[in-house]
Formats: sequence, structure tokens, C-alpha cells
Amino acid sequence: MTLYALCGFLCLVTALKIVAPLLDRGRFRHGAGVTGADRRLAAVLFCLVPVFALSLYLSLGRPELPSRFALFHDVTALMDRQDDLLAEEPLRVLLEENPEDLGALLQMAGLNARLGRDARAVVFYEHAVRIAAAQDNILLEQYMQSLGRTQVDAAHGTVDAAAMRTFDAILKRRPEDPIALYYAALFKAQHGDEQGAIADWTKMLSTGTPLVYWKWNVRAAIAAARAHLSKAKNNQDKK
Amino acid sequence: MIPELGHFALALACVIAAVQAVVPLLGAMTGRTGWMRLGRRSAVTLGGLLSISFFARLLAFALSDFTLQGVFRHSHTMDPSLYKMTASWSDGPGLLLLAAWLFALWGFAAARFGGRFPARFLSRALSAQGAILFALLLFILFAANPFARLDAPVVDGLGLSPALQSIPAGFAPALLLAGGAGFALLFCFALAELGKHDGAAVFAARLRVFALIGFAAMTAGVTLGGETAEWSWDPRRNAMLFFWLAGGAILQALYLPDAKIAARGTAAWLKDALKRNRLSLAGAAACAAGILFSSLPHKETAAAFFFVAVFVFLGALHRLLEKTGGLRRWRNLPQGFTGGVLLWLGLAVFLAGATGATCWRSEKTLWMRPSQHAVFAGRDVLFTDVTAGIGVNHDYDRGMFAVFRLDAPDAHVFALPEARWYPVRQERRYVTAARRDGIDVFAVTMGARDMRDHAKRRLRLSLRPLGALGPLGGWLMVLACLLMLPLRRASGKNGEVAE
Repeated sequence: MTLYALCGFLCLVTALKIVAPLLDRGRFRHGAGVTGADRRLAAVLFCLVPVFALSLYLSLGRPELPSRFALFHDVTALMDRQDDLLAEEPLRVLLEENPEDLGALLQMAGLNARLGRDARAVVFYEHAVRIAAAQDNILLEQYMQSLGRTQVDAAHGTVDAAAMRTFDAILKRRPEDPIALYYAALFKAQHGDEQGAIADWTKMLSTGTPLVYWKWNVRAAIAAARAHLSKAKNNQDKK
Repeated sequence: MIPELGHFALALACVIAAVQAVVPLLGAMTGRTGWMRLGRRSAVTLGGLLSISFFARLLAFALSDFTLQGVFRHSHTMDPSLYKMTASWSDGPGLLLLAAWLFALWGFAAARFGGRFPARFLSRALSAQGAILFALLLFILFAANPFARLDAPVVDGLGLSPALQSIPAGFAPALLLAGGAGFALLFCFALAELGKHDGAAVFAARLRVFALIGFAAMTAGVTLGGETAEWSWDPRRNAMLFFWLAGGAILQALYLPDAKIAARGTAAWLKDALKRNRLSLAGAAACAAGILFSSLPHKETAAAFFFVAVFVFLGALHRLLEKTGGLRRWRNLPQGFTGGVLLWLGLAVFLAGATGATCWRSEKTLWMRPSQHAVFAGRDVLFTDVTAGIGVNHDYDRGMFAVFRLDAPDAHVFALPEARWYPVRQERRYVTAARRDGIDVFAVTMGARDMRDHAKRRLRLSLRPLGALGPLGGWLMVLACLLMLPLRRASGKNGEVAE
């Protein structure tokens, strides 16, 4: 809006400046006054100069793009993004040459997930999981974990049916998989069975060594579910 | 927003240039005073609009606005501030915008200070300027847009080419364009005069100022360009030399006595000036050919062309002196006798320096390790040490050399060439250390390391006889032009000549 205001002001000042000699009676000292032709030319120029200038600018300019002065903004986040953007093109070329390239597919999926393009990342992970399953790859469960977590991210944190199918598939192959168990319990919590979720998470805590990284997340999830339950109970008591 | 405002100012300037091309000319044809005055007003407005446009792009470069394609391609946040700004005219679109801006500023000066020109004559000249500017701006907007934007945000740019990261390389194009734009305005005045001969009385006298400033700017540009090319007459950088020599011929023609021009009429004078300066123009052509040939391995051909050029120029000078009645008549010129003499002296010194540095230059390439020495061109060159360091946007290895004259061991100079690595561009640049040794120039360039013995360096030693005279002559000529500028106003009625 400010840009259009400034452009309008510039147009107005310029048009007034160039038509002024045509209408300035005081400057003609040698007898010639302002004629009809002068007035007509002034009117034409006053109308047409802004119109032509704006038309020319709007056909070539990009008024919707803001400036980004590198000297005044924090570039850390953009730099991370830059690396991924730079890596995207070579990966795309690799996949064009060989669509079954498992490494390129996984990198492309991870890159899209980091760039926030979760739906595209899910497509690449699904493709990668299919290929890994066909190859009977020993890391298949890990790829399926990544797929499931990206599906949850794509659904804005909700464990939907598609994600649940992925975690079920993992649990069929590896019943003790902590990631799949965690999300399966989260599915229960998000669908109203918070007691069941707490029971599953508590059971998970009793397995494995106590310092495993995911146990911190499970403890936090149990605390959140319990807080939610007690809040719901308080609300019911008040009613 | 700032680049878009600059872009809009450029579009508006294009429309105003179209108005300036048509309305003042119609005014001069029909005698409408208001329409003629509109020409002067629009020339002033054009100067303002193109200033907004030019400074908007300059600001985008200074603040690293990487949404602009030009900034992304030719700048980097690590580049020194000065080179961020000179980068704004390092690409085609930037150079064209600079040319348009400088041309508009010349038009602004003509409109603002050209009150003594007859109104019809000035209107026709400004109309011609408007037409040229309109074509130039249309080309800039549609084919080489300096405000083209990038859709995707980027963190940093690709950086300025290391070859352009020096003060001479940064400012030589701007000065050359300033001079070129000044001569383009002279062309507009000549067009205006050829149409109707009503400016004869003031034509030459008034244009001298424009020609002198244009010639001074162009001379400074050629001199700086010579420094950039290390006085080796790289035709890519010094193609402007032809226009410069032609400009010198025009300047010479403009310094005929006013009375003679007025008596003959301007058209006859222009014809006579062309005939009178045919030898100078031929000399200019020969020089240009010499420059082009000097890029070929046949140095002898280049030397021959250069000598031909020098003699042809001397012939032209002799002819001029003969026609004007020798040195005695120089005193009768309206102003700037000292400047005139200094100008010719500067040209002679310049040509001597350029010829010596190009034709009698000797070079030697060798491998040396620190603490070794070599004998070259009557000098003992001692390679003392190499130190590594970090510059603003580059890493460097700086060599230290002491150069002793064999015939006078007490006289010595030090040279500090650098081998630089620019990580952003992934390019190397070898900065030559050129040191004046009397009137000669001794230069040392430190190149790459030996792959097997890293202490060993490839070196290029060169001696350019009379090399110090080239820049000296160039700056003498700039000084001469400034001395020749008329400091007092010519007598006559103030204000515009009435129609």
C-alpha cells in the first residue's frame, strides 16, 4: 500500500512539474498567453503520463515481493533452508535417472520434511518403504518409523488412520518397537482412551534401560495425559 | 519496496523521455514557447527520476537485498562495502542504468545551465536527448531490467568477480560512461544545429564546457582502465580509447576562435572541422586498430600501429598549428592557453608511456623459493618471504620482494604481490605489485605453488620502460581540462535568448 502511495505521489509531482510551463501565465513576458492547445496538451499529459507509467510498471514490476535486506535479518534459519534448497535439484536429477534409488528417495523425503513439505515427504517415504520391503532391507522398520512420524506431522500432530496402519505394520514385524508403541498409545489418547494410553506408556517404561532417550518423551506424555484427565475430572465435579 | 520504487521511477522516466522527445520539437517547429519550456522542465525531471532509480539499486546493493537478481549474482554479504556499491554497475543492466542516469544528468545540466542557448536550439537538442533516452530506457526495461527480482528467498549472493574488486576496475566504467554521455549530449546539440542554423554564435563557446568535462571524465576513465589492465591495453577494457581520441579531435575543433565559426556559419564550420581533423580521426582509428592487434601475439604489428598512430597525431597537431598560425595564435584563444599546452603535453607523455609499456616491455616467468634471487633486466630480485593472512572476503599469501639495481645497489624498491583466494566465488586472483623505478615500472606477480614443492612459487617479473608516464600523462590531461574550464562568465545578457 505504501508503495502504491509513493508511486502515486511521484506520478502526481512529475505530472504537475511537466505541465506547469504550459499553464504558467506569469512566466510569459513576451505577450504570448496560455492558448487552448497548451491547455489541451496539459490535460492530456496530466492524464496519460501516470496511466502509461503505471501500465508499464505493472506489466514488468513485482509489487507483491517485499525487500529482504540481508544486513538486517537473522540468516540462521534461512541458511539451514538454503542447504536443503541447494540439495534438492541434484536429488531430483538422480531420481529422474533412477526412480528406484533408495538413498535419493530417503534424502528427498527428509529434505522435504525439513522444509515443511510433509505431504510430499510422505509420498517419498511411502515409495522408499515399498522399495525397501521388496528388497527385504534390514532397515525397513526404521524407514517405516520415519514414514509414520511424517504422516503424523502431515496431519498436524494427529495420529490418523494412515499413520496408525503404518505403526501397526511395524508392530507386526517388531512388537516391542518403542516408537510404534508410543504412537499407538498416543492414537488411543487422541481418541478418548487416555487411561488405556497411560497404561500402555507405563508398561513401556518398565521395559529396556531407564536412560533410553524415548523414555523422557513417554514420561512427558504420561504427565500430560494425567493432567488432562484431572482437569476433565475437575470440570465434571464442578458441573 | 525500495527496488520497486526505483523500478517505477524508471518506468515513469521512460514515459517522460517520450514526452521530451516529441513536445519540445513540436514547440520549436511551431514557435510555442510553453512547449519549448516543457523540454527543459522534463530534462530536469528526468534527472531526478533516474537519480531515484539509480540510488534505489545502489541501496539494494549496499544493504544486500538478495531479492534482486543483480544483487544475488554480483554481491555477497562478505564483500567490502565499497565493492558492494561498485557491483551495482558491474553487470549489463547496471551499466546501462548508470549510462542512462549520467546521460540524464548531462541533460539536467544543459537544461539548468543552458539558459544562454536560443530556446529553439535548446529545445531541439533536448528533444534529441529525449529520443535517445527513450530508446535506451525502453531497452533497459524490456531487455536488461536492473530491477528483475527473484521469487525464492536466498541467504547470500554469488559475490563480485575478484577481477572487479579494485578501485580502478570499479570506477573506470563509471568515468568512461560519464564522458561518453557528455559526448552523446554534444551529438544531440550537433543534431539540433544541423537542423536549423540558429545557434551558430554560441554553439562552440557554450559546448566547450560540456566537451571539456566529458573529455576530462573519459580521460580519467581511460587512465584508470589502463591501471586495471596494467598498461597492457586489454581491448576489452580500453575499447573506449577510440571514442576518447575522437572526443579529443572534437575538443580541438571546438577551440577555434568564436569569430571564425560565427563568420562561416555553423554548418560550414562543422564540415571544416571534420576535414581539419581527418588526420586526428585517422590517428584514432589507427590507435584503435593497434589496440586490437596488441591482443594478438604479433607484438611487432602492434608496435608498428602505435608508431603510425603517434606520427599521424603529430601530423594532426602540426596541421592545426600551421592553420592557426603557430604558437603565437594560441594566445588569442578565448581561454585556457596553459590548459591547452598542458593538454598536448599530457597527450605526448601519455602516448610515450603507453608505447613504452606496450612495445618495449620485457617479461620473464620463473619458479622461485623464498630466500632465492634472480637477475632480470639489470636488476637483482630477492624473494625474501611469504606471509599468509585473511582479508575482508579473501585469504591471501603475500610475497615480499626486494629489487636492487645492478648499476646502483643502494637504489632498491620493495614489492608485495598477493595470491588471493576468494572462497565465495571459488576463484583465485593474483594481484600484481607494480612499483615505479624512476620513470620505469617494475612489476612482480606471484602465481601458484609448485604441486611437489609447496614453498616454490611461479613468478612473473616484468619491466615496463616509461610505464610511469602513462598515468602521469592521463592525469595531466585531466588537470589540463580543468584548467581550460572558463571560470568567468562570458559577457552578454543574462537569461534566455528571447524567441
